[in-house]
Amino acid sequence: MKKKYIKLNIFVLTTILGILVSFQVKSINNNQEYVSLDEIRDYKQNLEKEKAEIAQLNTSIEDYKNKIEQFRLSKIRDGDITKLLKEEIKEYKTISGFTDVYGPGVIIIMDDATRELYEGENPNDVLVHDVDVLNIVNDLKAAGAEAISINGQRVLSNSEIDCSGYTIKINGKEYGHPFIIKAIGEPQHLEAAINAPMTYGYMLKTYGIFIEVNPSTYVKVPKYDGTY
Amino acid sequence: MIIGIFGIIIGLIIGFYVPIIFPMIYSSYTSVALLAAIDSVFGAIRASLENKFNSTIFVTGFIGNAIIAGLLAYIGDRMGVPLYYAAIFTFGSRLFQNFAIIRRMLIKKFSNS
Repeated sequence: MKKKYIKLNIFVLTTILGILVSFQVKSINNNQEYVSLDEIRDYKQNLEKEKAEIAQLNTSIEDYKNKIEQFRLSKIRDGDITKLLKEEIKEYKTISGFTDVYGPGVIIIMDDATRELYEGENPNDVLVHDVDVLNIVNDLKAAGAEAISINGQRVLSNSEIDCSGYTIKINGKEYGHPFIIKAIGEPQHLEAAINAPMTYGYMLKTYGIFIEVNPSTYVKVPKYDGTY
Repeated sequence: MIIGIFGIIIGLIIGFYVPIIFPMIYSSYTSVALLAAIDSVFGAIRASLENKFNSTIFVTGFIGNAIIAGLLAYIGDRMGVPLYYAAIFTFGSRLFQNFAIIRRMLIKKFSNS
């Protein structure tokens, strides 16, 4: 009686073993290796990154296709594409600071605060620093400014805004306060980028620093006067 | 012994016809568990040749070893310690040892008779 149970036990367990082994054989394909959970997570992240890159490349393919289409249409309409190319050159010259830029925009005046310091307050709180100017310029760029100048010096994509004592250095030249920032773009957007609550400009104002934004229908931003 | 081989063959046939596959993520744990199960089967064969076979020990060892091996591999992965390899070494080396003992016993048995 007991012997029979033992045999039944062995039979059932070995059957289970056989089933599990065959499942395993089926689920393991060749050329596979042991991968830990960490590695799986890494692979997943890489996959996400690659997918994002592919999406980006696809959009740039679309852009180039649109451009080719434009060139084709221009050729049909005007006979050649020089007009389009000239427009493109003009655009690039504007971006790279070869030409003066005119148009609607804002004129921002930044100056040190005139209030008295509190007891034991750091005097740095009431001065305009290079980072303050840099953040303001960055906000303007984010709000769609096409051309920016500070005290008559054009700010290009490779221009530095750096601290040099009581002055700041832009394109290798030093400028003292007040800083007059001219930006060309949609005046309302640019003004909002400085004046709206929770912006960097708004925060500077709470410290007492003087910031004045004057929207204007005609602002002239000079071209870059240094050598390239 | 014979009933065990018979069971494995029937299990393999059933397993190949039932359309179930382990999820890929857990395949490393199930493989360790399977290794533990195979090891306890070899242990049982050895014990039966030594006339020390105990059904309870076999059943508990078969199920318990498999579960603990899979669980340890999983916990090790969570902690960043590859306990997976420890399970492979332990069960793998014991499997070979058991097999060597079984071989010796069988040779002795047949050469005596």
